[in-house]
Amino acid sequence: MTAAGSLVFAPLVPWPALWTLAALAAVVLVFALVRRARGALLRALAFLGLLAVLAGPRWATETQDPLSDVALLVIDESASIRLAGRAERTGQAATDLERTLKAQPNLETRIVRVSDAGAAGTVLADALDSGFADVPVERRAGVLILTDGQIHDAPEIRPPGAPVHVLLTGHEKETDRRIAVLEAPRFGMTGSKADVRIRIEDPTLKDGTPLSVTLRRDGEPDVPLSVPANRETAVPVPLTRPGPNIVELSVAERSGEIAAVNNRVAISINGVRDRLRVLLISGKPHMGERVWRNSLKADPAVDLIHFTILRSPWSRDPTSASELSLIPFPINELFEEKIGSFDLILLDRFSAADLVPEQYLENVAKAVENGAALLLSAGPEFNEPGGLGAGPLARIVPASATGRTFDDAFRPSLTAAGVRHPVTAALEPARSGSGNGSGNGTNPGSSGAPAGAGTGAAASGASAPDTPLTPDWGPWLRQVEMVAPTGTVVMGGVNDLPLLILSRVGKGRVAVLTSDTLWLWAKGWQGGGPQGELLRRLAHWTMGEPDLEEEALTLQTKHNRLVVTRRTMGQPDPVVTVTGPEGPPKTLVLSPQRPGLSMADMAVGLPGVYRAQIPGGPEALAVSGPPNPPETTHLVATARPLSDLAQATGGSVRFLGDGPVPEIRRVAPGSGASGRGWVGLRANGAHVVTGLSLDTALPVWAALLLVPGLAALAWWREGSGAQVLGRLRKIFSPDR
Amino acid sequence: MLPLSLPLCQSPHHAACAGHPPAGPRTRSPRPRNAVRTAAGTVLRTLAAGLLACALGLGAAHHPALAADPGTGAPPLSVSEKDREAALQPRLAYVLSGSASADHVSETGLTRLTDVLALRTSAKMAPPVALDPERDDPLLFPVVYWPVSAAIAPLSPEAAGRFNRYMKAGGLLVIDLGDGSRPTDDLLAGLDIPPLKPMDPTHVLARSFYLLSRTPGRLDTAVAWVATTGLDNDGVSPVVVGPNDWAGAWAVDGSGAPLFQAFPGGEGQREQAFRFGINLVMYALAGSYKGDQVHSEAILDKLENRK
Repeated sequence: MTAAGSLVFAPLVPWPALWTLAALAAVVLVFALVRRARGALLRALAFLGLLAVLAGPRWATETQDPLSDVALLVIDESASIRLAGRAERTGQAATDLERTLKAQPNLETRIVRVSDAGAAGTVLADALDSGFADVPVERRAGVLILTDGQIHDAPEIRPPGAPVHVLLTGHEKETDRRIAVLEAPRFGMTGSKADVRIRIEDPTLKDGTPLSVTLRRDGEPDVPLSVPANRETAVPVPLTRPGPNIVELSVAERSGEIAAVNNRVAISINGVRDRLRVLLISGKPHMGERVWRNSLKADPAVDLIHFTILRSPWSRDPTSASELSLIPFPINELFEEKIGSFDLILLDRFSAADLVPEQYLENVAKAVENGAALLLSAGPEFNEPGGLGAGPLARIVPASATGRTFDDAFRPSLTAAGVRHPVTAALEPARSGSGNGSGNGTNPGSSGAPAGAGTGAAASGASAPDTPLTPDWGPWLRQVEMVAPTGTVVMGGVNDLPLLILSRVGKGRVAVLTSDTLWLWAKGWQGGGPQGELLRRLAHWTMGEPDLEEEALTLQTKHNRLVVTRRTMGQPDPVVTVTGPEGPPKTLVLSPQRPGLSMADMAVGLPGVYRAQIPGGPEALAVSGPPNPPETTHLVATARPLSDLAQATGGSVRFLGDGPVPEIRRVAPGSGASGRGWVGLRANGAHVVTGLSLDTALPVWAALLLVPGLAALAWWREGSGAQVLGRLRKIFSPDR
Repeated sequence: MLPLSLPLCQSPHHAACAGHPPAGPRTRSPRPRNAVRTAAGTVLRTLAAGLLACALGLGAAHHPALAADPGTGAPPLSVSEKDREAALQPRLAYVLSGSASADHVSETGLTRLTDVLALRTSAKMAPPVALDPERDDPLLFPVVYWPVSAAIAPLSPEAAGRFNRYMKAGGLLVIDLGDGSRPTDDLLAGLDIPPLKPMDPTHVLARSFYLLSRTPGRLDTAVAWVATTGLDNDGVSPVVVGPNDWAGAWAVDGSGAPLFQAFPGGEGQREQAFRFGINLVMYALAGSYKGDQVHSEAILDKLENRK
């Protein structure tokens, strides 16, 4: 507690009266001076004394409590600190600083710990603002920031009105090697190469020093590259698949660098597929033709080229060509010149008889082996002369035709493999399929089928894993008997004979539908079925759509979660390990979703590359955040981002290195706030008044003595007193 | 005849609706477990199907009722012979009018058209079938020919519903107004006929096999009318309407000679009538195939073989 005094007045008469008296006194005095009246000066003093008594001077004494100042200690605990191995050093420095600050008298210390804000990096503005929110500027002593200097919102930090001292937990001479992604396309054409522009930054190397870089992609062998140091380089990345192509580039770790985490970058480039070129050849006009057309034409990813054999070579028609809307079937162009340019060749009830020579069918088989896909829809013509059951295509058809055809109704079912296979798994029931909704409430139904009844719960597949399933779909008729399938049978028909077979041939794929009555589903007959979805999936499976691959491991980030999806036709995998940019791999339990599909998820930590791996199985990559997330890219301790702030506030920036934390001194406002081995916190001297006492400054006895005394002296000087003095003067001045 | 959906789902108190708690003030009870529901549904559906089939007299025909697969939720199959045959081989169908002479013209006309199709095109169809609109479902037939002017009574709402469903599912209903002398508005009531326009030579129907500018039958009163738009079903018009008595031009007697003279164009007009009939069938089977063939050829021209 301190006290401070000051003079205050409590007049006995109102101020105007006091001023009037003073004026009167002044008039009298002036008159006296003009008349050179004796004793005028003494009289003036007497007047003054009287006025002073009337003014009532008081001596006021304040009792004060000094206010402690507030210092802010901001401790950066962001990922860059951890990644560069500074966490321990930072923790030690923080403890030391805390202790030193606590020992300071009249200083309150507030501690704010800052972790990183995801993709935004380390942000301090809020920490400073909120730490000082309730502290007026007059009480702020200063800010100590314990950090590596990698602050990503430095320009947004408002100067707190007190010195900011930046204590960098690192050495000034640190160096780091890293890959900077300067430009990465987000999309690219599948099958083409996308250029990713990178620069490998290493201040210890001469520009252009070749460094070996590894390019790694999902499920592909690593590609070694040579990239010059400190120079912008374009790395061509092949986009091999539609959808996300995850590419990881890594450069070898250099001994003595801060951290290896930024020697890797991952980029996700979306592969966009050119429209799929589908050749549909309908062997004759028939009821199913429009179902294929509708399905393929409705698919925005498909360029459909359709030919229908409207007239066979032995048709007899006298009409002249000019009245016909027919074109010759371009056999040579389709089967010779352009056969290799189709992604999918769909032969719908096609028969080569007398129309297409065998050598052309051989071209189809070769195109498939070279990477095209073939989809056969077999009708009764399959076993007839010229049918595809024999001849060159038979060698790529994944089953053998017996020559028998069934003509009775059967309900298509999913085989045990079909329940798992992405082409047929969880096909929705089609009770509300096309043609069933007549809209006006009078559902006419068909011959005896309970249209509208049932919910097809069986089709969900979840209730019967790995057992064949017959969903409540409408029936088909006619099936071409095929036996000894060499592919995967996903649908069964009459007597569980193969109805839909999927197989791989060379680089290509073949799907065979052993019935031509799929169209009954589209009509909604007896409830119909999911032909649209089945055909869409079938077409996309033949063309390698990643979502329809039998064996797949995908890793995606969704709403800050990392989602692992595992699809397999084999035994379910129990666990998956996920390795992130930081820390040891995590093992996650895969929980089954439905036959052949299991999932796991975890919270996304640091932005960067995540790698999921089935032990002894496939692996998948995912990228969280931008290619160069701020928190993991720059790891060298740096003074740069915060130096302006420190300078502007009269603070300082220093590297702590391995040395001790600086001494804390309190400095007066306006004086230098740092020096060798110490940093200054402002001593503001703010206080609060706790009491006030008033003591009269002119005691009564003094007033009584002063005023009459002076008056008497004046009188004496004016009259008799003057004579006495005159005599005295004569006595003491003998020269006169 | 009751619409099939009514006894099954519209009454919340009906047994078949046990799986669906009725909406209303009562709070929705938790859904039963899948297995229970499936089993219950199967039994009820099977029962309902059987009852309905008997009640509707459909079970009387050919019913190769296959046993349900064991352990699945699918009800046993029941397929009428008419549906089975139609699904196995496409065939034309005509709507019985109630007038024996008109039905005979339809039958012989469509039979002759089927023969001409087999001769001139690769569409090999089975002989035509007569449909009783009040009993039969047209769903599986590519073309249903309806000489509406010969009809005696309008369609029941159930029959109209079946035709509407047929059109919606991609069928082609050919409505022949005969000589146009009889008003047919009442006969067409209840059908969802879309807005129509006369077929122009660019329409796919005018070039689905032959190039046509007129659509004559026994008469050549006016060109046929088709739907103005049709984005569903490959843009195929669900209905073709005309006043030209097409079956009259196609119909032949037992010796193969035409039953009627084509007027005013004679045999040339009859040839055009057959061409129109062939275009109708090709349009119904191949959809807008001829409409996008120019597009297909353009794509084909640009293609290059894979390396």
